[in-house]
Amino acid sequence: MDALTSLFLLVDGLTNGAVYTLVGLSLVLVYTTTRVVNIAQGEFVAFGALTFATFMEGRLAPVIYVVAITGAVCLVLDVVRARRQHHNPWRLATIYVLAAVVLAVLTWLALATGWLVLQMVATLALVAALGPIIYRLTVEPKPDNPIIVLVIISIGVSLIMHPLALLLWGADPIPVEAISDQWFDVGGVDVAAQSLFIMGFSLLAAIALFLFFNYTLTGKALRAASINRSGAQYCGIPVIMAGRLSFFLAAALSAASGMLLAPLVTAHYEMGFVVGLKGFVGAATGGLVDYPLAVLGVFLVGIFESFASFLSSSYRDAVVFALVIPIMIWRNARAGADLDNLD
Amino acid sequence: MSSLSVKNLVVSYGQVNAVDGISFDVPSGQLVTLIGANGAGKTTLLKALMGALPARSGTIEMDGVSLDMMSVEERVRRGICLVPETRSLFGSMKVEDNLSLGAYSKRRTTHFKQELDRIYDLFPVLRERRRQLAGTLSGGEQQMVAIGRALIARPRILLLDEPSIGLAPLIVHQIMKVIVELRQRDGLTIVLVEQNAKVALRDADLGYLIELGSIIKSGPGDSLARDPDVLRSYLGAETA
Amino acid sequence: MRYWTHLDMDTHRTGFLVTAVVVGLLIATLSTYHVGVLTIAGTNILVCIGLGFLLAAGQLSLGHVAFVGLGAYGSAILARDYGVDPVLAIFVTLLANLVLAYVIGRLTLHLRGHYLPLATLAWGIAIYVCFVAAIDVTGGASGLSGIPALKIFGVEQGVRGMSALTWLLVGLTYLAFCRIYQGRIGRGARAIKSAPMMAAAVGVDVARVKIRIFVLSAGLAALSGGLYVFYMRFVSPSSFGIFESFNLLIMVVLGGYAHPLGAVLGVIAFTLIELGAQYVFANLLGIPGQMETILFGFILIVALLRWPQGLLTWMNPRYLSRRGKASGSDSTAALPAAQRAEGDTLLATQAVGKRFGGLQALRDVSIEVPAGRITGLIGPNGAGKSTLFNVLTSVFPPSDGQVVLDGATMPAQAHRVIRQGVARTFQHVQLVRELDVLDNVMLGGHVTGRAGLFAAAFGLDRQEEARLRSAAHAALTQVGLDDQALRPVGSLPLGSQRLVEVARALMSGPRILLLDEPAAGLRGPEKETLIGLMQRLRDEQGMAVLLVEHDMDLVMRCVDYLFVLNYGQLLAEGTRRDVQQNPLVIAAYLGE
Repeated sequence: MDALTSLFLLVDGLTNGAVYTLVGLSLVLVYTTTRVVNIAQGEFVAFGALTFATFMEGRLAPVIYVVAITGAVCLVLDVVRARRQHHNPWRLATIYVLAAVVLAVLTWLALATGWLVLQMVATLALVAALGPIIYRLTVEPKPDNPIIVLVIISIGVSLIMHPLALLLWGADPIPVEAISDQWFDVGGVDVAAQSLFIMGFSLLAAIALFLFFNYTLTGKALRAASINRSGAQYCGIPVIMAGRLSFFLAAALSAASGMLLAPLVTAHYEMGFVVGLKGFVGAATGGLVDYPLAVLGVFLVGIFESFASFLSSSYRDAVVFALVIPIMIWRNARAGADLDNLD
Repeated sequence: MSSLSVKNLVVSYGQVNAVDGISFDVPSGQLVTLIGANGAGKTTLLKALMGALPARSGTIEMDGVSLDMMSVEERVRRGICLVPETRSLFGSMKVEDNLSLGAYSKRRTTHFKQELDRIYDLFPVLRERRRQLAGTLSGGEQQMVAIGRALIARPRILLLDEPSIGLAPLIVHQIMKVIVELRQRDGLTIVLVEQNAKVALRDADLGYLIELGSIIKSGPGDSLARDPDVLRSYLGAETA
Repeated sequence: MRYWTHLDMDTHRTGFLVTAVVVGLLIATLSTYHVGVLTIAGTNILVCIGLGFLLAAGQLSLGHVAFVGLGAYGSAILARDYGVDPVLAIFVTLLANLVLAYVIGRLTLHLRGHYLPLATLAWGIAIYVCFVAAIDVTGGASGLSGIPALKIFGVEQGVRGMSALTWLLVGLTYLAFCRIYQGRIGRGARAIKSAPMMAAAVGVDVARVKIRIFVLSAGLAALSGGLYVFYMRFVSPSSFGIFESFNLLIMVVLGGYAHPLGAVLGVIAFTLIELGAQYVFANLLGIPGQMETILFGFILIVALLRWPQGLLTWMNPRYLSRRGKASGSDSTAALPAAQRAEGDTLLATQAVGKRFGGLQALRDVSIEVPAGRITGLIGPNGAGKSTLFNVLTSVFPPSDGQVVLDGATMPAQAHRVIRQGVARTFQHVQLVRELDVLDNVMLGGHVTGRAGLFAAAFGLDRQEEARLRSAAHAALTQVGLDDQALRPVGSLPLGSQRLVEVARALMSGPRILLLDEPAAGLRGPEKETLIGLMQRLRDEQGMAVLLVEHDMDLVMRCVDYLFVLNYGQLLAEGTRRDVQQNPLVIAAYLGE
């Protein structure tokens, strides 16, 4: 293998890694704030890509009906619960109605004006809205379910979202135009501008998440809610809203990932699954709790994948996934003192 | 500050009434101590006051307003804060962060630097350890963090659940000093639950002895401290 | 809880026979297509029984279908390319799978929390990819055809033959697992899931049991794969992908895993729903395939949130677990007698200290627990009593000093402690809620038995189980709860649950009994029973009893000697008079 090939593989690997980064970050986000190992996270990538593609074609994304129906169900459940606890349901209802209005307006604007930025925002809003809805329906009923049960529940969500994407958008891939058709020459290797966008955006997101969760009060509150739920309640942290907000952010990140990826691989209902899994391997490097390590992990996965593909393409995925085991063993051994179970 | 009024509170675990019809009043700015042996129902009572446990019957009023239908977060916003028996700290987060989160409910109006300084003045050792992870602190220091976290939002009523557990007498003394000072200086209304009767009753305006979920004796703090019933309740009947 | 049916032994037996006859008839009379469906269902049941037991032990395997695939490909390749007789091929592949499962198990089963499911997901996918990639060996994505038929006594088995063989094995496996669930390892497995600390305390070698259950389930999966491949005469990787693993999970969760019947119910329900949904979606609604997956996703989520026991919720499987007589058997069966060596110090701590991070929980604590005495350990809340207990029973090691038993150091592994004759109860009751009172008590006798998975499967543990059951009834009689023996343990009030823990501790015939706040939540008469029991054990069996308690009335009535702990250090020791009148102790409890 000569230097040029190595460089090519390296760049290719970094590009792959960047793709997985946002999903990896979402996984860490969800786990550190809700203890859910979200196997369905990759589906948000597909939903994001497909919704964006539909907007670019000037059509109304069918996902809006899903959001509307499931959102209505959540509203009913919340109102019923509020009445049972003798709380005022009107404040809740107003929030839901406002959200619905915002989504509707964004969607209409995106379609009416055809501006790229509006289309992106509308996509993000619609797909991210699914996050808290899924949290409300699957985790909130029993947030302290053991982790194993939460894992199986997220599998259930994946089983619903995957064919749903097929149902809503069909089996054919939908091509999406890149933001820019430029290609750059990096040391003799061609890199697409879209790839650089992805890398840049992913790094920014990683930094933003890191800063948010470690240096802002709201971010710390979100983490605290999953570290010690009752302790967080005693601080006046609204633990239920915390979970919903976390899922919202994670869904938004993954949807963004899908939007950026679509021009490279075309929007397709199957695209999320593999991306999600690779993101897992990367996030697992950080034990699902560490942002910087997760980012490092996904880039290592990308590079490793690239080289493994070159050396033996058909066994590539097997090797990548088999890597998970030593990583898990290593993380398990390192997860020493359990500082959070002091009670 | 604020007053607290509890009427006929019943809290049950399955078929057993852990709190069996308790009534008492805490006038504004006073320190009320609840003592009793393990399993008497003291922790359950405090959790019910916070709304962390549902009451089967009875009412809880703060300044005449019923708290019964409010969630834990709403009660915290109203100004009633609990330092739980198990402290419930965020062990993997820094001391500073633990304290700051205590002011979450008032985050828009809190001057964090000021309030943190205020807590560090009360508990100087925390200033040294402010960047340390809370889980690595000693028992006494963790208790200080727990109390500081409850105080930082300037509550109107403070509930303390056995703050002296596992702490050396010197530290308990320090903590009690701080608590009493808060009552004198700020007029904070305090409900203190303790097993350590002498310490808890010495500065109390009112004391209540709880056994098996009911109040069996009450009176001014210092007279209750010398009461033989209290001795019996703690050390068993064969005491000479 | 209203049950559709109370499955007692007779109903169960009848149901089994009826099902056997029905299945036989179906195999003989249905069309080949339907018999095929029946066969596939049968192979699924085999895997799900194993997977269900794994889940009952608290282990989630998201890649289990890989073992099915290995079994299928292994048998197929051996038979097709190497001319090995199919039955032999299945055996050989089965053995190879057992070895592989052992290796994977050793590597991954100790992983905690979310690490284990992720690891299982990973190797499941890795193996699947290998199936696709190893084209020379496995035929790659297009699969392997031309697989010879399985021959029994020289007769080639077609669709009906394979179906009959599969269901015969299903029947045998089902019976074997009914017995396994009721037996010693079955109880141990449930304990591992709900109360791992207690499981170690009664002597269950948690790591070893987990691996055995894992290997067994992998073996069943491999067997299932072998049967599948000789029925289909064709194999391709698409049957062993990650979504197939998810399907197995759905079947297990849908049916319930508290009993192997759940696997049967789950597979049948899944198959029916799948067929029905496919018909409705494809023929009636004209929606493309895969849509029934959405339905299963819903079912999975709803089942987990509302009916975590699956279909077994309505069948009260507890009734299935009573072999032999329902009420107290020979209660005069004596518990194994402890040694009589009164006054000798059996258990002692020497200058023990324990640190947790910055917290010094214990410092320089030296206590003695002599035989034939009841020793009390008292102290204010947070004094370190439970920590000392945990150090005494090797739940964690001391930071300083040591624990000495009969002059030798206490074994460092928690599950060996009970073999030294030291039994304990817990401050927060550690009982297995899925089991009834009797089963919970029988758990305490784990070390007095030897029956493993095979002994249970083949019914060789009858005598041992009968002995354990008798002893359990005797232990329950000692605590006055024999009439509650068959009730679900969660339905008892907390006080009675504590007494059940005491009965469980007695089962191993201990010389030393460590009781952690046994009287908390006990009512008057129950306290009398407890006091009487402790005194009897001390006087008649010379047992050494260490009692941690807050109830001073109770403590003062029965202890011979007291140690008082405060702030992790020994504050005072002596007889009860000494301690009650000790001003330091009074100060510690009531403040200075």
